[in-house]
Amino acid sequence: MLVFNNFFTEYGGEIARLTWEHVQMTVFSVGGAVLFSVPTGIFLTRSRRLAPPFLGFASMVQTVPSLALFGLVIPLFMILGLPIIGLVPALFALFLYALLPILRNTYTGIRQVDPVMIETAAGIGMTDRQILWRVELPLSLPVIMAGIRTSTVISVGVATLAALIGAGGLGELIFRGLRTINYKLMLAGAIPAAMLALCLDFILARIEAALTPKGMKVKR
Amino acid sequence: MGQMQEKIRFRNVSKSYNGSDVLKDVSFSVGEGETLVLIGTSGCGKTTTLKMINRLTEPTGGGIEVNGRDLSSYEVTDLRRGIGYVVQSIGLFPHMSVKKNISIVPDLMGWPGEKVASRVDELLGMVGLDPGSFRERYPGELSGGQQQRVGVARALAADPPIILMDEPFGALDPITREGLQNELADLLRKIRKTVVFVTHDIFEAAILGDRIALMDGGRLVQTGRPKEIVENPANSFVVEFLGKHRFQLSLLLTDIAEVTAGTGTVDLAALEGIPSLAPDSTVLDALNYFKRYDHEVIPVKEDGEISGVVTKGEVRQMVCGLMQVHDAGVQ
Repeated sequence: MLVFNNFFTEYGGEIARLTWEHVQMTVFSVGGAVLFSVPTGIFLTRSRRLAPPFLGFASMVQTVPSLALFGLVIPLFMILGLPIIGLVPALFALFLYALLPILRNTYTGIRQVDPVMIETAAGIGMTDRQILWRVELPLSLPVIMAGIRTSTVISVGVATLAALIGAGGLGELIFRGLRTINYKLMLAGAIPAAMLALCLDFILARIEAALTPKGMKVKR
Repeated sequence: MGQMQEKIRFRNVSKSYNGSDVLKDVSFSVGEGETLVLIGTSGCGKTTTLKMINRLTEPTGGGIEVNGRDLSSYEVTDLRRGIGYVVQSIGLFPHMSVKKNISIVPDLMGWPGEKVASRVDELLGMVGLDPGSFRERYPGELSGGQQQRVGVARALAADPPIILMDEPFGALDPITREGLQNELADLLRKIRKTVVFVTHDIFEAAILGDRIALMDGGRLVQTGRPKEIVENPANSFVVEFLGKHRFQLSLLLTDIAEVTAGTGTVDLAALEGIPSLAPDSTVLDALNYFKRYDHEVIPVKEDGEISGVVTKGEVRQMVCGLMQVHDAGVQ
């Protein structure tokens, strides 16, 4: 116990600060990805010819190993004259990484709505916009939320690497622990990161449950 | 049909899709308050024809008028909100309560909340569902038959003058279907809407249709009252389509009025307490009556009073007559 007490007096404040940084990085990158991917996903269901290139690009980004993505963002930012270390490139890399699950799930979520239902909605006099808001989005919400949850969990993991380009977060403790072969430090970074992923997923699950229309929870 | 005001008119309508003709030169009209049933095998063009009325499909040739106005002159969502639309059970929105489903069109038209609420309850009553126990339920909690009742209520919600029904009972079991067909026939008689109804079931068509339009390969083969079609099929396709049902159909389509005698010679006292038939019953009803009860004479009651009688002998003669007609027709 004494060991723990000492550890927390020494590192407690830092763990809290880095956890908060980690949360911010995740929330901003996933939030940005939601703001970009959901409207884009909807747009792609309207102009299906554009869907393959967009989804293809997002899939390609996803296949790049996460560490390598940070490595690719740095030269890109150098060319563009943007800051190459710190929060900005880290957020950008995380944002790119979070795009695909949300984009793909929005696209497939809306496309899986029964075409007969959409035709009926049109047939009783809904406009395209009303069909989107009143029929397509509510019916595809569970699928879209699943994409957001996947992106969030991935982002918490990938954000640990952001420490490598000086963006902070719990990765700092992990990497410092690795360099000094200090297990306590490694765990002090890894355990909160794992818990964070679980917590955020849990919160999103609750949001999903609250947003899912009641009739869709009815067992047929 | 001359005195009826024309509600819908198709003039030489055709439709080709990817180079093949789905509809060829289809012309017909539907009078106000009339139920027209479009019938045919799958792929005959009946659903395409129906969907042209609410512009879910556009014709490639000819013209369609609603209320004497060319269809293309209507704003499409306004047109659709003025036309009730019922499809198979899939058409209800699973994420909306029964109330929400029914009130979609009134909501879109901006009705005030209380008016919508009372209309929903009124409609639920009309289709035989208790408002108190069904209003807040979801489609997933209802049986197929109940879902279809809600579908009909939704189509009637904003009191549209025209209603389109695309095989609304297609996914139901035969018993539920028959019950709903009869209820719908009663309801339509009461509310006098102009209805276009698509089905492939000739009995459904005979029960519900004021007129039937039989289609094949994108063309209209014969249009007429159900009895006319059954008794005077226009060609061998119609005969084939009616097939072995023709005899049963004519029993269904012949009123007992034709075999009802006056009460002059019968002992009315002896008929008291015996189950009776309504004057608009069919010969099929009379046959079923004789099968169920061991009576030689059926009292026909109108407003609680015996207005006539039907005897077994008369019915037998009528059935034999119909049989001869059909034997001749089939050959």
